[in-house]
Amino acid sequence: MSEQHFDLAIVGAGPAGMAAAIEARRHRLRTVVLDEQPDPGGQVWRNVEAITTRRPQDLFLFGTEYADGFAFAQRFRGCGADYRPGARVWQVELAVPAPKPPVRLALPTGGAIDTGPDDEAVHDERRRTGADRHLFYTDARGAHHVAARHVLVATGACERPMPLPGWTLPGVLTCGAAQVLMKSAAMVPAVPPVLVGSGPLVLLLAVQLIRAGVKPAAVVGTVPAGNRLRAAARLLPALLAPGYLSRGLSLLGALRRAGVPAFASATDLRIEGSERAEAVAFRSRGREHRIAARTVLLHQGVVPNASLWQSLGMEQYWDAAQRCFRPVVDIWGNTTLSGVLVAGDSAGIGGAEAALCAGELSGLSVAWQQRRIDTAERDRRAWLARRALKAHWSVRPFLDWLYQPPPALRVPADDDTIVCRCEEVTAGELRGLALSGVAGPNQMKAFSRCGMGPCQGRLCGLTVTELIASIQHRAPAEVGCYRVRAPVLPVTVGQVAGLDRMPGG
Amino acid sequence: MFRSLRDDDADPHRPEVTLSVDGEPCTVPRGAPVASALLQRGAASRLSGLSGSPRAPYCMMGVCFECVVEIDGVPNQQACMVVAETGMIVRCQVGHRSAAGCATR
Amino acid sequence: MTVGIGSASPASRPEFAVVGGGLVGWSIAYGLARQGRRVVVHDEGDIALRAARGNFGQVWVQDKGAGVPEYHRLTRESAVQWSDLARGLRDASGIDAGLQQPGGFSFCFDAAAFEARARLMRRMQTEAGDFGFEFEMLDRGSLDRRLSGGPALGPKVVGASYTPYDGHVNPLRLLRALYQSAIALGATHRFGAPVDAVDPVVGGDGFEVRTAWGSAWVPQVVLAAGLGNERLARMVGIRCPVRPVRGQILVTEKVQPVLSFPTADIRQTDEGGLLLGSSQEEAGFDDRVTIGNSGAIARRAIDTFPFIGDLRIVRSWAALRVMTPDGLPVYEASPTHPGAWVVSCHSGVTLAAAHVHGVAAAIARGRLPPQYAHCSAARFAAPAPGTAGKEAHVPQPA
Repeated sequence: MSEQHFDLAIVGAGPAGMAAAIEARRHRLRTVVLDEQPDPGGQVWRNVEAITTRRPQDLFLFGTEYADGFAFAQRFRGCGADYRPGARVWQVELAVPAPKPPVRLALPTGGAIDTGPDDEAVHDERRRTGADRHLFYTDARGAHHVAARHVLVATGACERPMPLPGWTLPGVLTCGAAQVLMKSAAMVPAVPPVLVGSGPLVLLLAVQLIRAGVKPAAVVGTVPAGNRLRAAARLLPALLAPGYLSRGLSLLGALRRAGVPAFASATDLRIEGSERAEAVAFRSRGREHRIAARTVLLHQGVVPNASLWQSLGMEQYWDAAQRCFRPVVDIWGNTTLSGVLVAGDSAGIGGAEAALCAGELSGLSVAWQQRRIDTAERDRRAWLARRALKAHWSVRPFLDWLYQPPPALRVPADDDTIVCRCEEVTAGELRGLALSGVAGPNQMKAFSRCGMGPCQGRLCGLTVTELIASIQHRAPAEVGCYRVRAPVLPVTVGQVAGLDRMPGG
Repeated sequence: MFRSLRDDDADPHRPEVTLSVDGEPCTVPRGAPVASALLQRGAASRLSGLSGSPRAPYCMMGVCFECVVEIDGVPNQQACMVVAETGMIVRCQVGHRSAAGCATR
Repeated sequence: MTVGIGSASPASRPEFAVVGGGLVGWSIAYGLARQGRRVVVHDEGDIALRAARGNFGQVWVQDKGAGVPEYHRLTRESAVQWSDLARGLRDASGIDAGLQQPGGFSFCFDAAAFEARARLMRRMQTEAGDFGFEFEMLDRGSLDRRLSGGPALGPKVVGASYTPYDGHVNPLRLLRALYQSAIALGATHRFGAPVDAVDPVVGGDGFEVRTAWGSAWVPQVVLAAGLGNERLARMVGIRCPVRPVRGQILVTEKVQPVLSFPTADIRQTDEGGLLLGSSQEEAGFDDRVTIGNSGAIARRAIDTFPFIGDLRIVRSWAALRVMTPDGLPVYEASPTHPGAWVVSCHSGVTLAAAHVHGVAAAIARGRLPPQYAHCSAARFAAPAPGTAGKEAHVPQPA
């Protein structure tokens, strides 16, 4: 076991984490970056270094935004941060008084980046913080501990669960998984897949597969017709965001030109098969469809990868447009816990470009809190990133409402559909408990084991919150979520046994 | 089921690693996760502990724990988070892991 | 009052309000409902200091009640009645609480501890008198023979005590079974708001139970609010000095059956995971998990059974025990406000059978029999005059 002290510890080497590290190093902060992947880039730039250097002929598959990641990863590698790949952080312990139980505030919806505490009193308190935030992680060699004055959680996003009949069958993966396979293993579906769901990634993956010579058998869209109307009201600010809408339109065009069969507003979805996926069945525009498919790729947007920050007990709120919990942060990413920041998609889905800006702002804020720069310099340096961040966020209300999954795909209507894949708990059992008056997700977990498996509720948490809310006619914010406890990733008993004494703690 | 991006395998110098999955050799590009080998085969990579239902890698980013397998004798490892190496011995799991194997080591 | 469930007149009006929706509260509610009483259970919201959800799940007898043989007897009788409780819950709710009572081991890691343990066992046997107390002290050789076929013990284990009374259940299924059984017998459930106050109505005519959502009148009230009892009991003239004692527990991934018996701090659940417990920490109302104590629990588990070192921890939790200064329960009827009762303890699983069959039945009859005298709140100093009532809100320690 090794232990070291840093000014800033960053969890995650995606856009937000890398940008924060680069900014922090510019101000000479001793910075450590812990990331669970073997190379920097996060999911969006996954494996970008290896593809650029070893299989550049594949770069065209992923587009220019992906290729841009290489230069950024190189800057990150050269910034002087202590970068530790393959490091999975399972616990962060704050040697500070117990936080209050999480309180959910009803904040305005959409990008909450302009809300939150940002006053001198708060920051005076934060300036005094010592290196007493402790991070515990595991890599191939064992368990380790680092201490830091500030912690930045930049754990990115994960795909929103899409519980529908048959979604546990082999042959069913997420669209993100298919993209990871292309990037990290140069692999594509052996037979034409069916893509099901909504969101920019469905379009992007379909086009990437076409470029790779794998024309999807079909793209089954699940956006309800009503979404377009709600999104249209938010179109005007979206036009100000750089590039998003034109990129989307060009992807749609590519899909149409390739002649991929597309179905809109699909409902009553189910995946058929016993030992593995064999077909996708659904209704679209009043007609029943059944498409044979041995590979089905699901996606209905991404949500914050929240386990780590939720395990710390900071204040959070429910975002009604993104339909997920988000931490209460100020424009710098400061949370309601002293010395802890959250930036990028793990604080709310804004995309990679917004995450770059947010990471830079967090790096600046930590430099300021540790007196490396004064307020004037911080604000001068922050000006561009703040403006860009605002522009990137202006497209979000439009995208959030356009691609918001329909209620039937957030809370399965079919009683036999599995909600908790680990403990094999069905929607019917949860509905029964919700009807009987279970107080919330934690009582539900205790009564049904839903969320008690190794994934620790990552694939059922939002479904359970929304299920209870819809049945008990309560707001999701009031229903709340699982209380997440460390370790947020599995660690062996032997590894924990070796971490007895907390130096300096 | 997944296959290599270049089905003609035009590049004979492409760096690869070969591992064993349930006794069968399986070749994936260097740097690829073990789960990519499981998906080449296309079958279930485990049977769930409660109902024995077939499961296979699902999220490929360490979130869902569907891809857990035994790697070099250590059970319940997330195959999507472990980089494949030549000579690895991977076994698919049926039900819960045993504890007895650990006791005798 | 002879109004039963089938009776016509004010049939919807509860006779008892139980304050607290944990194991103790639902045990009392189920016990009262079994006696034909109409009960409403007041519960907090989803995030509560809920010891019932952080329970280790033992029906544990062997070292309880040294120096207080009445408490040992209460504990052991509850353990004996547990199979009846499990059967009743299964009949009423269809839920199997997973009771197993194969006896339990408590391991010792040096000769002095082994000697001390043997003295404790002998003392309890002496104190038990005619009631009897069976135990075995097993040295390392006998222990290895007894446990052959099971997992190997660590080199530091020198011996163990064994008593046949010990067992374990699935505490989460127990909570659900109590809840559903009580509901099936007509109990109602109000959740989402903690009880702010229990106000005795002037003239001794029942109580107003106040929450943020309003107040409701009930003839009788049972306070089973865990750590909240300190504050609430004062309002009915009872001193109930409970404090939080944090316990942390680690849960491993599921493995095929490997342990057929519980030990004092390790057991395998019927679902396959191993529970490793449990610390005793004075940490105020901080119920976070900490690395330091997880490490101590992990090391003790590995010292006992080395194979555990290779298992992954998939969950851990910390919960706050409800502890009196002497560790004994509190069962009390208010002397000043008849119809108010207090039930507090830190062994909600072991004593569940006693609570359902004994304490709740006694409350339904209106009198606590002498067998509970050692649990009377009279052993604590009486509250200072003038502190009863709403003004007695005690701020929670930070």
